[in-house]
Amino acid sequence: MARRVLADASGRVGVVPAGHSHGAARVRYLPTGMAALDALLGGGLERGQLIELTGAAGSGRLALTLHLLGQATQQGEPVALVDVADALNPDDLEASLRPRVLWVRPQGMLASLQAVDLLLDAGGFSLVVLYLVGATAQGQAQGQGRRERVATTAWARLARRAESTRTTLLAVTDGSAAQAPGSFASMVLGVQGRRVRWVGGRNLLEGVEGDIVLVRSRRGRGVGRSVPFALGAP
Amino acid sequence: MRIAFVRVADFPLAAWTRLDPALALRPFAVVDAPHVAGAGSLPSAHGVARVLAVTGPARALGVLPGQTGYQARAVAPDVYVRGVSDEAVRGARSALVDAVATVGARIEQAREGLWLEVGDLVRVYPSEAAAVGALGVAVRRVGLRASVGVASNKAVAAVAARRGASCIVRAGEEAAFLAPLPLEVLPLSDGLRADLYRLGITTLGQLARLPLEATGLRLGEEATRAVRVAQGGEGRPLVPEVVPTRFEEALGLDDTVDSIEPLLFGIRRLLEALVTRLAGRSLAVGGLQLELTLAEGIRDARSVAVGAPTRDVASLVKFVRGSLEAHPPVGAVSGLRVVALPRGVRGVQGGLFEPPGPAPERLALTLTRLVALVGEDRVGAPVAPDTHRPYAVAMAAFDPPRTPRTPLVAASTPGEATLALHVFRPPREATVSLDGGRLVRVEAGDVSGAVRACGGPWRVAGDWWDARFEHEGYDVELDDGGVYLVAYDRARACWQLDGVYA
Repeated sequence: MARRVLADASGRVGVVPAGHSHGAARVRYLPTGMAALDALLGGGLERGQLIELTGAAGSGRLALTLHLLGQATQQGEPVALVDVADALNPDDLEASLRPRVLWVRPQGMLASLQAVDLLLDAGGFSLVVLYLVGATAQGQAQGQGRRERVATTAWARLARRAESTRTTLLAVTDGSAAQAPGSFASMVLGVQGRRVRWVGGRNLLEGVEGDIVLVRSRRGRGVGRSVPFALGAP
Repeated sequence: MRIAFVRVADFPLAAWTRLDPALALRPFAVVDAPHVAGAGSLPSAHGVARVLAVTGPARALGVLPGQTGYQARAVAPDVYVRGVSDEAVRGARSALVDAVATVGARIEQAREGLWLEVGDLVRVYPSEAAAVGALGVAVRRVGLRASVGVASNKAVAAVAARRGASCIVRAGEEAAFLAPLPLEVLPLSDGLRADLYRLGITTLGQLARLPLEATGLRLGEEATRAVRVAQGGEGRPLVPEVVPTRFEEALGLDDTVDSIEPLLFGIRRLLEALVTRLAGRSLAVGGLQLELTLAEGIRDARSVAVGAPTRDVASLVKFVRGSLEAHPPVGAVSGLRVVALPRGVRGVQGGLFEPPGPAPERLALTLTRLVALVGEDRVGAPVAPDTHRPYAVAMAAFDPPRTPRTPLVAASTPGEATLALHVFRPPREATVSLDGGRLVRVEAGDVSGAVRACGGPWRVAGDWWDARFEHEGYDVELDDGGVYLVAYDRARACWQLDGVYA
């Protein structure tokens, strides 16, 4: 009995120093509000990490982003959205969530990265989202200009900042090499749309179904697996 | 009662070097004439006026008080000459009051500095020497240098400070302290000083031995006062003043400036001085009033908002730059004045059981910097605007509640969220092909495809009293797999792509 009580997770019995907990160090996560996704990620979005959320146009990235923002405020901590393409429709945010979201609408990639740097430096935000989808060279309309590139050094700096302040930095990208954080992201989630649902007859948009795929993870567990999700019409 | 006299030597010179410390390291002289801003190298008004004070490098080159400005230039061609700036002197005096007020509260102003009652400061500082040290530090922080004298009366304290170094005269030792000092330490008129020299009086000890009544009869009331001081000082009490606080700094420019960068250089100096003064009173800048003096006395007065109270000079400069770039001055600028509106720094203490968040001051500073970076109307909390105009934007000040959110109602189906619209601002022009009123193809920039399914139209119109809008929206699934919001703008009679459901 005593041996069973004292055994650690791997079944070994040993002396545990005072003040130390059994087993691996505890890691704090931001729950996503989707049980299957939390299970796939090992608890949720890891705090203090740079995470990339990518996918094709119309796959559901923005909806998932807003959902994650909502979940991150459950404990009362504020969140921030750096909206490079000025794409947010405030009506898509739940009314009780809006006062807790700091919406920053910079013009240009440099200002966007500086804004993220300032937010990470402030500390106290549980989640900072850098929404890069649709970001084009300053002064050019969305869809009509070249993509602005994010320098590798910028990702390195932001990843370090996030780690030091225990803030989760979520970079939402279009999957292009110009925007991808690359190896600086501890995890890459891909959103794939599968089916658009219409209410028959009147052709009312009912929603979109898809999958969230764990494309890459430093922890190595669950890579390649996916969980289904559904987006309902507002 | 113990009184300290905080003396700033050569106030007109100190007022200039406070705003531009580099002047103290170069040959620089201040003449007894009003400073002529924007007048160029050496206006005649400065040339004929007498030198009041000089810096060390100027004295080393032979420039001395009493020379005219022209004589000073003849002795040292590189000497920089300016007149007395009343605005700069006022700013220096205010800064001195702010600095001394951080040590003690009972202050009386004087021409060369101010008196401070220090008797009760022993409750705060371990000794008078410690209080004197604190005064020196506080005064240096605002860019001035002062000598401090402490004694049991005002006159002796002033003499002690006039010696050039900080000095504490113990109670009862005033006469012994004063005796060996030369007459120069007393602020006497030239006539009285000459009379005393003729009588062979060269030290305060000799002056103290003069009979009071006879001296007054022969040399006047000023001589009587001087004798009393030499005998140990007079017992005039300190009369504390309530000094109105106005955080204002001004600077007259030597040459007119017609571009923004040099202006910002001067404004930055003024902001640094203001922030230092405010910090001493635990205040921050809540707003700025900027006044530029243009040619022919025209003044450009403007208010500059700063978002949240801050002491960050870099952010303040950005706000001022934004104002100057948005509304450039209509002419060359010869003078600057900045008034800071003081605000307390938000000091909310987080509760033990409240969720963590950014510290209030840190958040305020971050918001200020964000506003300086992206603009005031592009930072805040999103608000559903009070209009039916599609995709209107409204924002409110970001002030998050510090209570946990009500838990979301669990989704009926796990893994479910709500569709969101990625808005295209501005909307993209689109070309839509119709077949019998049905949308069959959409092309808009990099979005192009045949229509698989379509819902709508959803009509909305409004603002008929202003900029009327009439909008017909369609939810369109294209063969690229995306679902888009395509709209027909009836007011402009054109198709546009409003966004993509993402």
